[in-house]
Amino acid sequence: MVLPPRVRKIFRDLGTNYSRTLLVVASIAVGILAIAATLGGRQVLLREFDRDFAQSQRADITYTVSDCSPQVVRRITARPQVASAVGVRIFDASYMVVPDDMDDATALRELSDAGGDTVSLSIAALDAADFDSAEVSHLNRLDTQVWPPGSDDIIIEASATQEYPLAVGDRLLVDTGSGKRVMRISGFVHDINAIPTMFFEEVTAYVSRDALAGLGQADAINTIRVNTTGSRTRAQNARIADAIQDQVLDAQGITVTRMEVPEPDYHFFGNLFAAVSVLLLVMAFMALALSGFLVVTTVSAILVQQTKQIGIMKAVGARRGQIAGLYLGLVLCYGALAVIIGYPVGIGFGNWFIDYAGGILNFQISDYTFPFWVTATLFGVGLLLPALAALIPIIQGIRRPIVDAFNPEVAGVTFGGGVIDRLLGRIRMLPRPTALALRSTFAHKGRLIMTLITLMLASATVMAVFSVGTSLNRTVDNVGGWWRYDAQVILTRVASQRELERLAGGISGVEYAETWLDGRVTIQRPDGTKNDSFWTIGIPGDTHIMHFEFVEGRAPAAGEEAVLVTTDLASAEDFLQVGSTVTLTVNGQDVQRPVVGIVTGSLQGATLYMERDDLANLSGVPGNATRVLVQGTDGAVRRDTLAEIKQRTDLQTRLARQLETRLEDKHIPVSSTQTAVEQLELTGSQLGILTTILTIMSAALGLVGIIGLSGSMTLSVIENTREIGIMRSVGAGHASIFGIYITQGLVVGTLSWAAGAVLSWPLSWGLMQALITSLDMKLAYSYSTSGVFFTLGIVWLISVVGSLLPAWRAAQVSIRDAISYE
Amino acid sequence: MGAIRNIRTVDPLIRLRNVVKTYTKGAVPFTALHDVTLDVYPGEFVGLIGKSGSGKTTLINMITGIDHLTSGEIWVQDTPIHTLNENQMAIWRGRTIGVVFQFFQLLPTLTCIENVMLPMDFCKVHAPTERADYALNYLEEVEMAEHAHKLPSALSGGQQQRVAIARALANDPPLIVADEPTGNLDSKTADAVFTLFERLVHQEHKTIVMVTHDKDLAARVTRSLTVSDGVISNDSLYADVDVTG
Repeated sequence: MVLPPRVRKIFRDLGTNYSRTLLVVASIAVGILAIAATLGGRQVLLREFDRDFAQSQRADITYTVSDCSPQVVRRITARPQVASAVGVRIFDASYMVVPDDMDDATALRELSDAGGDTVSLSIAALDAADFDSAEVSHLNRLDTQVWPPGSDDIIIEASATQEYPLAVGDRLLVDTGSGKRVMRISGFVHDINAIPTMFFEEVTAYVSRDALAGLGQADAINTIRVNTTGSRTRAQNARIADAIQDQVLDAQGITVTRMEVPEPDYHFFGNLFAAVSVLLLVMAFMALALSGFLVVTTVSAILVQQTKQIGIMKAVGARRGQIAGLYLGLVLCYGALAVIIGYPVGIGFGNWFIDYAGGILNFQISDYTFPFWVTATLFGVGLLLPALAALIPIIQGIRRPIVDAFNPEVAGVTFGGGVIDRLLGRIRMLPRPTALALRSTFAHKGRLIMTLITLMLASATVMAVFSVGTSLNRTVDNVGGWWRYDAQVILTRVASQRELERLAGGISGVEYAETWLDGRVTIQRPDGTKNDSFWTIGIPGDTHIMHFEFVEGRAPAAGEEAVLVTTDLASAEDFLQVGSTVTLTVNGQDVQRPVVGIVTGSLQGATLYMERDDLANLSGVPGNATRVLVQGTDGAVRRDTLAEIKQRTDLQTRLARQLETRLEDKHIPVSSTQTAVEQLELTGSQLGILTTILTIMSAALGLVGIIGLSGSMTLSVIENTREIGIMRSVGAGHASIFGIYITQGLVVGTLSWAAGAVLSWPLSWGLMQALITSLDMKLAYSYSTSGVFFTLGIVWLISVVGSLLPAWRAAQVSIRDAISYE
Repeated sequence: MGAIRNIRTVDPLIRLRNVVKTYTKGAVPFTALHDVTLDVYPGEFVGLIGKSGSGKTTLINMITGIDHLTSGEIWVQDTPIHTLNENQMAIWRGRTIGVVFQFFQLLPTLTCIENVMLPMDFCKVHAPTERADYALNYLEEVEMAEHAHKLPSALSGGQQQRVAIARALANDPPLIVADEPTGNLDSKTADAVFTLFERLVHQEHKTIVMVTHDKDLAARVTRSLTVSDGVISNDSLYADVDVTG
């Protein structure tokens, strides 16, 4: 087929002007990449999270009960509104990795005394049949050699591998406090309902019921998970749960210590995930806006350069429609090339990001396909946006009289007309090349504005991310200010407050010791439903350790029978207000307590605080506690930052170890130990996910900024070829030419940074508000001025890097070519 | 003289009536053409001479429709071009006028033959498969056939101007308008290009209106118009040129 010359012109223009083609294609492609990662990433994460969560068949009702037999589970399963029920035994343990060269017997004998690192374990023992067929809390097999596991096998939840180097075949010395056994890792599973190891430094594991005896555990069920038929609301499920408790469990004399009836779509990462999702959405909009501006700038500039050719074509008989079609075709070719390059790269980057985020949030991605509308958006950005951007310059170009197209005075750029030009003209103390650079920057005002907007959005995003990071760090610091302990030990069962305080106080370096009681309390709602049980902490009325951040009200005084709730709990259960009275079910008995205060939560989930002795009495364990917290030297002094608290790491670690040893010596079983540094790092790591995701995204937007600036400068070189030649003819060397272009880049960069700094304040504030809403947590807001200046550094770097290629190009211009340049 | 009279017995190819062009873009409005009235007959080789800024280029830009007049009328071949809109003008121009510029203005990314085919392509003249043959014929006519597949950048100025003339001939227009076509060429090349124009007038019966600064060349046209300060101050017919061929 013979191609008409005008079609050949399109391909020839693409092929011969490499740098322009590369520039436009890169501009469009980088926009596609940024949007693929943000919008595509977000949509796939949302979809896969929902799919994985739905597939897991998380229990509608979970009972924690006194030991019972599988017979009870069969009775529950037989009830009409119950779809399925599973009985498991859940217990805490710890493990140490057995070295390859040590046999099991030696490990059992010597390993625990060697004082190596132990890791907390939460073990669920299932019936062998339930490993495959469980219709509640389904496990997803990843890499399993023995399935279901035998009596010496242990299956590990895969999120553990992000924190600990575990592999199939490794042997673990598992210690439950009442029994020790060497077990072999026979595989990994994925369980979306397990809290990922990185958050609480606890590994979730699964064994078969055959393994219980070897671990010193009773072969009895202590947790029953139930799924109801059909899809029901939480209130409906709660009524079924009450009926099961009354008619099956209570009737069999089984004590229910805890009953959970979550919202059907509730996931413990829901808030964090919502926050990630909001951030990605904001970033997607930023990416869309940035790439939009970039594409408009670049395509317009390319078309302005074609003014003369448009004039020639009109002179030889081209109609407006023909010229418009020609250039739209050219722009579509640019777009198609950009899609060909940017789409796979964007998908690759998006998939990497999806894997990364899915890994952190512990859910499996089985399908990376972007939703159709996201793909359509990417193609739209690649093809339609450039075409739309090109329409204005195309229309301007074809409307321009031919005579103007040949007249450089009209077709080109003029300097000196506006206020800014005259002001710049008055600056006289600058060296000539600098003055020239400055004035050239302002010669193309339309493009300058577009470039400024692109870079401004990019730098504002980077600065806003800094502020979000600083705000989250400030939040972590605040949490550090609330919990002023150095080390704490949590026990597997209650122990005497007095004994614990005596033992802890006897450790050298401990200045103060306090005991708390952990429990579970169920709240009765005003509509009569008896719902979720909440983590409840009993704290002494005269605590020295806890310094609450009150949103409203106060803490219960010593001996006062009242409750304090966290903001997360108050927002989930809006009837919990200061002054209201709430009915609690503790240890099977109903009591009424006034709500006296609301305090800021610290990402630990909905929590209820009571006076320790009140909770101990209600729980039937008066004078007992489950946790001992100590302060070392100067422990009561408030430390304001994580860095300051980190200076006490050694002291805290020593105190934790000594406390643990001391309690174990007295046969008080320890579930876990934690230092204040560890707790803060944990909170920090949860909030850090948000900062990390934001940083990845802002880096992608920064890339758009670099391409934008570099593109704008390259266009400036192309347009100023004649001027460059003149400068070279009057003695400008390479250094001068480089200096002029780098100065231009720095001027544009600095102006964008200044505008971006102004924009970053509302942007960061808005991002924090979005996070506060999605996390249900009061977060500190702190505008990062150091981030603003750090960003200036980044912007200068971007400016120099972005200007180097154009400057190099300019330095290559020969005087002869420049003067004859048409 | 008889031959010239013969020409003037037919209707003029170009008729300008009271043409005024005023530029208003500067601080002070500037009138480049003052009430110009002119007839150009088929087969004439008209040279427009005058100083820089006298209005020569403005005058031919009016004839080609490249620029719009402020008042008056311009008729070319019975077409009132002052009434045409942009699109009608483009189609009309492509079929009626071949334009030759001082700086050649070939599209740099198209080869010589493609540059010549471009007007045929835009104006849908000849079947698409035949256009290359026609273009090659025109290139032969200007002695550039051997360079047909070269890019303009590979050619000398004189060669580029020949290609530009071939492009102007592409749609076989009756009128060729050239703005200082030899202004950017050395005298030998300029002479060759001028000879080519003469041949087009004598053998192809084209009508040519050409702006020139070159007095030697200006003496070889059949009619010379001197433009000064926006008016035609002198109109000379050269009797010794046999314009009827």
